[in-house]
Amino acid sequence: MTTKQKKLIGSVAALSVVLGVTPNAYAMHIMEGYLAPQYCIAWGVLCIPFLVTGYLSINKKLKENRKNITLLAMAGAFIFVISSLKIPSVTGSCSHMTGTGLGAILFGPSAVSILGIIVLLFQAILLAHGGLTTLGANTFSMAIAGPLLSYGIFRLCKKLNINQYFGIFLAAFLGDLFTYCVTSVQLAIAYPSAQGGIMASAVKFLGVFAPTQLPLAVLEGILTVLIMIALKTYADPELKMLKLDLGEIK
Amino acid sequence: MHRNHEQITTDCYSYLSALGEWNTVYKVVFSVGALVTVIAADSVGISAVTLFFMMFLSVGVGKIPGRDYFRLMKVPAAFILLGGAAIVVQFGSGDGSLFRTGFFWTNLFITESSLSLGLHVTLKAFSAVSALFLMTLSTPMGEIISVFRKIRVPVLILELMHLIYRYIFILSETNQRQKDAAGSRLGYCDLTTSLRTFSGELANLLIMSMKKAETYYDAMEARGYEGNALFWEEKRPLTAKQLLYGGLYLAILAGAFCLVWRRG
Repeated sequence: MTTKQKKLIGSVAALSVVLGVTPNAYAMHIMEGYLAPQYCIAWGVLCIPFLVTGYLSINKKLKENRKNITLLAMAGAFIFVISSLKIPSVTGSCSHMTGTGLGAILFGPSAVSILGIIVLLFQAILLAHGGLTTLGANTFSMAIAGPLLSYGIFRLCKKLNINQYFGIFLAAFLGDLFTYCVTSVQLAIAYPSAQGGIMASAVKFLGVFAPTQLPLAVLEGILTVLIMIALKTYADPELKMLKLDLGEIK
Repeated sequence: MHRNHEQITTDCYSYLSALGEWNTVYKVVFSVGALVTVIAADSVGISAVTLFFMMFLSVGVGKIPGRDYFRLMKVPAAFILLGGAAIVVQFGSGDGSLFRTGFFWTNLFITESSLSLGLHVTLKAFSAVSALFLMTLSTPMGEIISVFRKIRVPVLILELMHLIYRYIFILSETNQRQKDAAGSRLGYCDLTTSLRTFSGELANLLIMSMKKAETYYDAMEARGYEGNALFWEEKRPLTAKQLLYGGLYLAILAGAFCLVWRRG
């Protein structure tokens, strides 16, 4: 066997391992024990202003109408359930939606920050995804950064009169991608490369998770659009209840 | 175990575990304390000791079937393996590396320090997960929330947590029925149909959940809900035997610390 052939076999083997170990591709939750204490605390502290804003907005909603409590709780449970369901796929691998885009579009980014931290806590406790010490970092990427970007894009597309379904696709797709990038950067800051530092390390983490996260982001975008179409067709009154007027959607 | 919500298995074990009788606050402090120790100590010895002791507590004392315990441990394996790979493999010029191969315009290589860091982080992650499992596999969610109440988390958040926890099971059961109904009508015959069925199910689930929310509020109000839901908490006494296990862990930790410190 020549060296070239050996290298080829080696890289094919590596590729198959990478593709093979992803039968259960959840959104990228940073695992328990992966971050040093200072990063756990720093990301947690960074979340506080957003969480306080979310808490105040939820509190206001409940002062308006106490009945909103069950509605909000249902929204939280809905986000948990969609993120725990397997997306149908041909390859038999099982991936899951993040639900960040859909959640932000339906319930607004401020409510999603509080619901998101509760859902992430439940995912850590009930599904062993993510963790208690990494809750701050995961909340920042999945319940704050992703939803904020999704919501921003959704509103922007509405303002610019871009086809709304395309706007929804972009919001969910980019929200998902952004979450994945933020998580990679969080990991890179915690584990910088010996050569090249944080930037090189970020490239590595982005590259390693790309095979699972890129298709997932596209699928998430498509599914979110399909869900919104179905909601628009069958549930206009319920959407109004969520203060979400999709009247302009044709 | 539960066909309807096969995803949510740790919840079933928390009701079955023999550690369920342990004092809740003690268990949470024990588990979180071990977790923080593992991360703060950042040493192979402490990680290994904690991993084995936590497995002994959950499987040996708590009587969680060993096979199920390892199956649950495999859940985070995909992330740990990929994350580990990203830490182990470096790119750049790659001088003084153990293994090096060309990759497009640059080199991929593994150095001794990156390999040991990768293995170390992987062990630390599994150890931290085992410490978390001590709590999650033995404490039902209601009791964990009661601990949050003791550390003064706002009542509104606690109430949301209680309700979300209950609704998760209702929604996943509803979804399982939707899935069965759709499956029996060939709703999952090919990919395009599957995606359409799947998104239809989720949209329908949202509509149903919003409708149920109203019904549940009325049901709560009919039972005297006035803006403050109270949940019953069982009293679990702290016994000498429970403290003994904690003491044993501390003794082993102290031993491990001494060894690590002596070696330098």
